[in-house]
Amino acid sequence: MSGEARGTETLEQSLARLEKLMATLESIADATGRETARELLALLLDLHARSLARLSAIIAASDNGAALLEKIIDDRDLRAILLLHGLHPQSVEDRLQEVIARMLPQWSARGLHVSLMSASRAFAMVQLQRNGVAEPTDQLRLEIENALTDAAPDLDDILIEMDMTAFYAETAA
Amino acid sequence: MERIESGNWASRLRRFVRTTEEEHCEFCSKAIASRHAHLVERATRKFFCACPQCAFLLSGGERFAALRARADALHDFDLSDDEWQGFRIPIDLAFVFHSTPAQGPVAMYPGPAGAIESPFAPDGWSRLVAANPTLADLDPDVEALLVNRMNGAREYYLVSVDRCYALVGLIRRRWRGLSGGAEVWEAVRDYFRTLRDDVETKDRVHG
Repeated sequence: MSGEARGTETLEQSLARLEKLMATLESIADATGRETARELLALLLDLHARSLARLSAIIAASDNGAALLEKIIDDRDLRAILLLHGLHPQSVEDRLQEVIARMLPQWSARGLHVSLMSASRAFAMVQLQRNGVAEPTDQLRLEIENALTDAAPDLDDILIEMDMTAFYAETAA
Repeated sequence: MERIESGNWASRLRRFVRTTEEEHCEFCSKAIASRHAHLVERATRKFFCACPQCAFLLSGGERFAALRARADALHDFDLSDDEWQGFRIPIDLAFVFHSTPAQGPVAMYPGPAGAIESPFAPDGWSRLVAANPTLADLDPDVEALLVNRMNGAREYYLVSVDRCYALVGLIRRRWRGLSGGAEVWEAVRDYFRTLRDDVETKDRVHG
């Protein structure tokens, strides 16, 4: 890909390409080549992580650091990189709570009640009460999962707990 | 806020570059030994690696069940060919377990696309349990009756479900063409050979 094309690529396109390249690398039969490429990538990420951690510390310690960080995480490219390196100033829990608060009017208008039960470094659990909402479970699950994963792509998984009897009534139907 | 439609990309990239084979508890991220506990989420049947503390805490709730390795042969299993036919499972290889979300027995059998699931007639299951009381001890969601009646075999086992999914995965990976091909059935024979060995080893240890 030319430098020009790379410059106009959106974040989504870059991430999709990243995904494809990782899959290609994973399928290379040559173990030495595969591991060297992986190590190179790990090293580059490490170098960036170290510098970015120091940069974040300097910003946070400066006079209007908090306001500056707010501005930085409003930029989606910067936010993505901070999330990748575990440098996002907000905790996973705060980020998820923020999404839930932002979606609250829309979700409660549809009779949905979403609450965060727990959040760890790898994993969050969310409870969904449907209050008789008839929308298909899979779609609801996907919608909520998507909204939350966007704010926390650094989590391995977000589990949505819901009324299991209702869940089965649907799959059996 | 604009969406980034790439799911948990940051987590996947980090895992991809992680060069050490170190494993982590999927609940609290603590590093765990290579032999560690597994929990099954009952509703989704997803497997999770867990540290001893999380395994203990979460397996006490209703959401997760702890997976304990199990492989027992049932030697005097009572199931006639007619009864088996009555269960309408199209292949002579299946596993049956009690599913909490389904509130009843569920049968799964392997096919080219993975596991095919069908509800297991509750009255059929009740008769099977009445004839073979040991089935009543099966731990819901995590233990299954594994049936192998292929090529005249009449083998029955009580196994933890991870072994069942391993069989399904093995078949999905090796299946070729319409009938599976020789390679897949050789792999299935190997699977049962290993299972029999494990059962025998265990029987010897327990005397």
